[in-house]
Parts: sequence; C-alpha cells; structure tokens
Amino acid sequence: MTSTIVTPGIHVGLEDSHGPVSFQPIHSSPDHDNVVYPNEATDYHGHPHYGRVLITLLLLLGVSLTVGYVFSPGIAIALIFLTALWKVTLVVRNFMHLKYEPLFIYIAIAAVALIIYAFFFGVYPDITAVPRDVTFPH
Amino acid sequence: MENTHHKQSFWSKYVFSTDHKTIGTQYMIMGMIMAGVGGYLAYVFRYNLAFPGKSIPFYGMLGPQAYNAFVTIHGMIMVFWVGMPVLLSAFGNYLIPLMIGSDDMAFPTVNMMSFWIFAVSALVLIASFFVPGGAFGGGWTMYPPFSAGGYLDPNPNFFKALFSGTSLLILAVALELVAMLMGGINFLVTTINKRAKGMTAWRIPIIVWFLNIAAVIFMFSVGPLVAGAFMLLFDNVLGTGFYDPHRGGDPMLWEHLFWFFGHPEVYVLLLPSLGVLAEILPVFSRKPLFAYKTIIYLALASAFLSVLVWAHHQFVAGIDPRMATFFSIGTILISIPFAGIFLAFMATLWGGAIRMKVPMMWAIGFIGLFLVGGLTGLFLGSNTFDIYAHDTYFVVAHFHYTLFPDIFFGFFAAFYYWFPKFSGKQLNSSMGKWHFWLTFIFFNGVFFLLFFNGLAGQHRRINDYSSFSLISREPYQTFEQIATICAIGLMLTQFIFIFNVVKSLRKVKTGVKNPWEATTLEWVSDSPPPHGNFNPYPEVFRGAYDYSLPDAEVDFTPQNTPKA
Amino acid sequence: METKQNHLTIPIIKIPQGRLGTWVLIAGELVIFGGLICCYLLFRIRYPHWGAMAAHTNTFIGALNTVVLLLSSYTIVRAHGAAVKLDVAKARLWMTCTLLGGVMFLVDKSIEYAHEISEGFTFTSPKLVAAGDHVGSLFWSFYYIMTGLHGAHVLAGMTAIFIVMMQIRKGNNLHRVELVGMYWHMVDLIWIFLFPLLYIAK
Repeated sequence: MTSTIVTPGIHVGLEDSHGPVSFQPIHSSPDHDNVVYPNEATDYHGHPHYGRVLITLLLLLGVSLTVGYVFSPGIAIALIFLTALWKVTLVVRNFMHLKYEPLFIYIAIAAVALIIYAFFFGVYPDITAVPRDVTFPH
Repeated sequence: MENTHHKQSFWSKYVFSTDHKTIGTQYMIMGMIMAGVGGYLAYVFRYNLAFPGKSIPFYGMLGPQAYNAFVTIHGMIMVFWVGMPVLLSAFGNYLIPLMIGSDDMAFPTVNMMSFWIFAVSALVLIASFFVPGGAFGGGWTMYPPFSAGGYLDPNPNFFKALFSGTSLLILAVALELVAMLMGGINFLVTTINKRAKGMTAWRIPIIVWFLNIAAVIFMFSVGPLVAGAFMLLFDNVLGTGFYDPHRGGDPMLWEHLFWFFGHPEVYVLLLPSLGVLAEILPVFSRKPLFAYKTIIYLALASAFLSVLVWAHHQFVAGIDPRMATFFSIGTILISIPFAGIFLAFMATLWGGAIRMKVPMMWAIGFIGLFLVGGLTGLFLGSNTFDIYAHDTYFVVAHFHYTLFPDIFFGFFAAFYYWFPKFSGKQLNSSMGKWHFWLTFIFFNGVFFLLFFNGLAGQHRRINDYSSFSLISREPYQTFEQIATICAIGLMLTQFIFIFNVVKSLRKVKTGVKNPWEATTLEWVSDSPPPHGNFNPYPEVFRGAYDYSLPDAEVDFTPQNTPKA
Repeated sequence: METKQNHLTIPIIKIPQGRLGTWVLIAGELVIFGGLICCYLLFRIRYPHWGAMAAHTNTFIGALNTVVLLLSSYTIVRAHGAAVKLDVAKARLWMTCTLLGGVMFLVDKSIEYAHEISEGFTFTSPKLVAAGDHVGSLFWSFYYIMTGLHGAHVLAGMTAIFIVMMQIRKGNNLHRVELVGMYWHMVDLIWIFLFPLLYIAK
C-alpha cells in the first residue's frame, strides 16, 4: 500500500469488502465517489423543518380518526385514504428527502405505483365480479 | 493509484469472493450444473414418453407421480436455476463492470451474498426430491390446490406440510428470487453510478442496457409473487384459505400473481440474450449496430408492455372474457417491439463483411429458431386459438422454441464469444461448429414434430399415451420416439462442448487481448482481467459500435480511442 | 492491502451509491406490499362482510402504533441530521430512540395479537370456520399476513439500525444513518397504508 493519506475528518468507504479504504484529503478530487462524508458534491439535499412535518402528520392522523364520526361512510373512506396519501407524500418527500432527489427516483417510485395499478386493473374483474356467495353449504 | 494485490486465501479468492468476475463464474458453473440436472430429468421423462412402461437406462421405472415431479422440476430448474443465473447473473456480473469501465459492482458484499443465497436455493430444490412424498409435481406454475395441499389433507400435520416437496419448492423459489433481487439492485446501481468517464447513456453497449431493463422488469414484477408465495406457503403449511374457494379465497388470485411475474420473466430471460446478439452481430459483420437508440426504445416499450399481458396464460382458466380480449391485444402488440429489434439485427447483418465464426453461428441460429417460437406465440396469444391449443404439445414446442434458443443458444453464443475474455484462451473452432450444427439439428428434431402432436390434441401432462388410443395413434407415437432420440442426441452433443472447454482450458494463453477485434471496453482490459479490471481506467470517447469507420486505419475503433 | 480508487468513475446522476441502492431496494419492497395490499383490497371489495370483521381490530392500539412509528421516523431523521454534523453521540442517541419506538411498536402489536387471539381470531380462525364464517376467517388470514409481514420489516429495520449504530461508533460510515433511516421511513409509510385499510375503514 503506497499512498495512504489520512486526514482529519470523517471518511466513508466505498464498500467494506474492499478492505481498508484508501483515505483521501477531503478536497483532493472533484469527482470522487462517496469517499467523503458529509460531501458537498453528493450530500446536496437540504433539511426540511422536520418538526413541522411531524406535527402535520400527527394532525392528519387525527383527521383520519375523526372523519368517520363526522361524515357519511363513503365520504369518510375517501377522506381517510386521501389523508393517508397525503401522509405518505409528506414522509417520502421530507423524511426520505425525495424532493431533493433527481427525476430518476421519482420515475422509479411512480413505476411502482403504475405496476401495482396494472396488477389491480387486470385482476379486478376476476376477484370481484364473481357471485358473492361462493362458500359452499355444508 | 495502482491496484495492488494482497494475498488472499483460497476461501476468500474462489469461494466467498467479492470479485464480480469470480461471482459471475460461480453463477455460470452453478447454472451449468443445474442445466445438467434439468437435462437429466428431461431425458428420463422423454424416455418414458417414447417407450412407456419400459425401464429407463440410468433411472429405472418412472411412475406417474415421479413423472409429474420430473416435468415440474425440469421446468423450474431450466427457468429459475439455469436461465436466470446464467443469462442474467453470470453475464451481468461478469460483463457489466467490464463493459462500463468500472472496477467492480457497486455492492460487492451484496453480490457475494446473492450468489450464496442462490446456491442454498438450489440445494433446497434438490433436497425436495428426497423428502417423503417426493418433489412437487403440480406443474411449474404451482397452481393451487395442488400446491396448497394443506387444506386437502384430512390429517393436517404442520411438520409434514413444512417438509413436503411443495413447501420446499416454494422456499427454494423464494430464496432464488431474493438472490436475483439483490443482483438486480447491484446491476442498476452499478450501471447508473459506476460508469467510466465519458460513458454516457447513449454510449453504453446494448447488452448492459438490456441487462438493466431485465433487472427492472424483474424487480417490479416479482413483488406480488413474493407476497403470493407467502400466502401459498401458509395455505400449504398452516391451512389458511387464501386460494381455497371453500374458505372464501380464490385460486384465480394465485394464477394472476404467478403470471404477473411469470410472463415478464420471459422477457427477463430474453433481453440478456438479445443483448448478447447485439454485441456479437456487429463484431462479426464489421458494421455498426443498426438503429442503436431505436433498439433501446423498443426494449423499453416491450418492458412496459410485458407487465400488461400476463393473463394470456390463463385464457382457459375462466378469466373475465373482456379482459381476455385486452390481454390478447396486448400480447399481439408486444410482438411489435421484438420484431423491431430482430429487424434491426438483420439490418445489421445486411451488407456486412460477415465472419462466420462460432459465436456468430450461434447468434444467427438463435434468430432463426426464435422466429419459429415467436410466430407460434402469435397464434397462442390470440385467445380463440389458445383455447384449442392450451396445455398441448403445441404450447410445449412453442415455448421450447423461444426458451431453448434464448437460454442455450444465447448462452453458447456468449460463451464462445467471451471465453477468450474469461480465460485468455480460445475454444477449438471446429469442435464448436460440430457442437453448433448437432445442437441445431437435434433441437429441431426434438421439438418441431411436437407441434403436430399438439395440434393432434396430445395433452402435455400425460405420462403414458398408450392408455389413450385416440391420441396415441400413429404417427404421433413415432414422433414422440423421434423427439426422444433427438433429445438424447442433444444431450450427448453437449459433451463435445464440455470436452472443448476442458481441452481449451489446458492450453497456454494466447496472449491476444482482442481476438474478435471488437470495440467495447471489456477487450481493453487484459484477458483474463486482473482484480480491479483496468489499469489505467479507460476514458470513453465514442459509442460502442464504431466498426468500419471511413477514416480509420482498421475496421474497428475501440470506445476508448479519442476522437480525431 | 488494496486500494480501490477509480478516479474516472463518477456518479453520472449525482446521487450517492448507497442512497441509490436503498431507493431501488425500497421500490422492490413497495411492490411486495403493493401486491399484498392489492389482494386485500380486491377481497375487501368482494366481501362487504369484512367490515364487521375489521370492527374487531383495536383502533386505539392501531392509532397509537401510528403515532409511535411517526415519532420514530422523526427521531431517525434527527439522527441523520446529527450525523451530517458529524455528531456521533447525538446520532446514536436519536437512533436509540428509534429503536425504542420499534420495540414499543412490537409490544403494542403483541398486546393486540394476544387480545385478538383470545377472542378466537387467529391466522386460520377455527372458531369462525366452525361457525361457518369462512369469509371472516379469510379476513383474519389477511390481517395476520399483512401485519406480520410488516412486523417482520419492523424487526429487519431495527436490526439494520442496530448494526449501523455499532458501525458508526468510531465515526465512520456515517452516511449509513441516512440509509437505514430511509428504510425505516418505508416501514412507516407501509403502516400508514395498512392502518386505514385494517383499522379505520369499517
């Protein structure tokens, strides 16, 4: 091992299996790959106000628990799932930092939703549009 | 910085290695061993079909139960334990880092774990033959109630159900899927993040694109099946009723879950092979690949369509007729992108300076045979014809005409092509030609006549036709016998290949870096590539298929040649 | 000793390898749960009777668990915030809070399971089957498989968080705090879907 330069600061290896990772000065290479942490080049995302997001989430939970007592069942269910979607969006965008990720990740997540929808669409008539009472009498 | 080698023990170098090349080789060897097992099973049940009631050499008598188990496990092995590891994992692991100019996969440890989970899954599968009751025999689709015997058993017994062939098969498949998922994550991250400088998206070789598209299709279609496999396992072991209509469940749900994965799986197997073709055809016709970008777009279109066509496997299962029309149309639509890809391949050959080397012969043989499989697929995709031909030998012949060229011709093309890369040695060409021609002839001998057997109404899950006078009439029994003799010939032919490989490995290295005069990055590295692959790391200046450039001195310009 | 610096290898879309890998993993996991939730929904539409079964689930514990998971998501994201500032002690403290949240979730879940099993609603619900209510027993099968698979993910996430807590002790591999955090959020958001499906919509 020739040129090991250990500098202060905290470094992140490429992978453990590579053995001890060669350390580099933090600003030595503009195009390093996950070598330094935190890293201006890759840790590009900001930090939303997490506390505010948490409070919104808890409020939404409260909403989804109470709508059942206020509205008729149909509206309530729609509202409950809308709040669930809203909650999921908040978690994914803020806690998982999706809103700072490149378009690629959005596409991957959207693909999941599309795939699931395709499955639901294809199976829907076969499971739901059958005679309701399929249990046999004993 | 240089890649210095540190002393590695035997275990960390060859067994629990994190090097992508070792892992790729391990996958390939494992896949070939499993191909041997699958071939042996095929030999046994083919022999039984041709000569029912006779004792089978190297096996003995084959009962109906064992026949069903053999057919089932043969299908399982060939798709999940041969096709997937050899085409996707072996070539993906070996080639992706080399072709994009990287040192290794993104997550080498995950890669190693992926192989060992795969190895365990293969063991579990083989073990299922030796549990009481034998291996599962309800078809590779594992439809309940065959696969959910728990609620059919009058005396349900947890441990008996857990260690039944059914449960072990579900477990083996689940482990295999996990292994492939880990591999797929690796492929995607490696390709996105670890490319050499200058390797932009439109300079990536087609095979890397296709391997990644295959990994995406796999990852996104396998999820529901994983959930469904849990449900099936619980049905079988604990006696829940997810697929039991008597208990409010629905067996149709499993069929949907299975084929929602099972059909895209076909494209997961097909795309890597097409990628192999896309690498080989330009090299041996000394021409740039025709319509590079169009091929990628077509593959993306087929990936999108592939998750919308699954229920064409269920036309006779009683699905909603309106949906049958939808799936029929989708199935016939999906032939358009693949026809486009094959036309682009043929246009690549057009007017080229063709070098008929062994890899090229396998590649062209692939195109010819796949044409038969693809065209018969068009018939079957239409629900009106499928209702007649379903579960006959027509279907068997059809999918062997797609999957055999796909898995074996694709594999052999790639193997003959990249063997100099793996080993630094060259396979014997005349033995390779014998291997190709005998395989080609015997393969057609096995399956072409079975189309007629299928149209005559021979059902695929009957072990002894002599008790069905209507369909065992001549010439169909003779056809079965011809098929069996050809199948035995096909398997014996593969010994030429094994002999060739063993003999070639004992030769000295040729020292030729780029024997086929190809342009892609893997030939820039030494053969076999050292740990770390490249020294120095290449920089990419051009696309992957710069052959016969007008102002170049030689008829190939590697990707790392700077532009003038 | 070897070095593995590939200077010419650059992330083309600027996303760190670990985070990209975690996103792909999460996408894969979401499809598994998506498929399961699809199956549940299809049967839910087929059997209006399941509303009566869903009334037996304990909405209070479900809501409590939602709160617990949301709070633990918050703590892990604070751990990430501390890790970015290279404050290892604080990051590990916040991660411990998340682990406690996970433990509390599992404890709640066990109490709930125990309660339901004592009422005869088990994985196969022999009591309901004996009473001829096959469809109802299917609801409980789905209930246990969905919450059970989710619980397995909670355990997996806790294990991952624990391992990372051990790994960052000496101040390296701090980027992994964010990665386990992302996985934990995924566990959280699956619960956000399961909660209305199994507990509120009756």
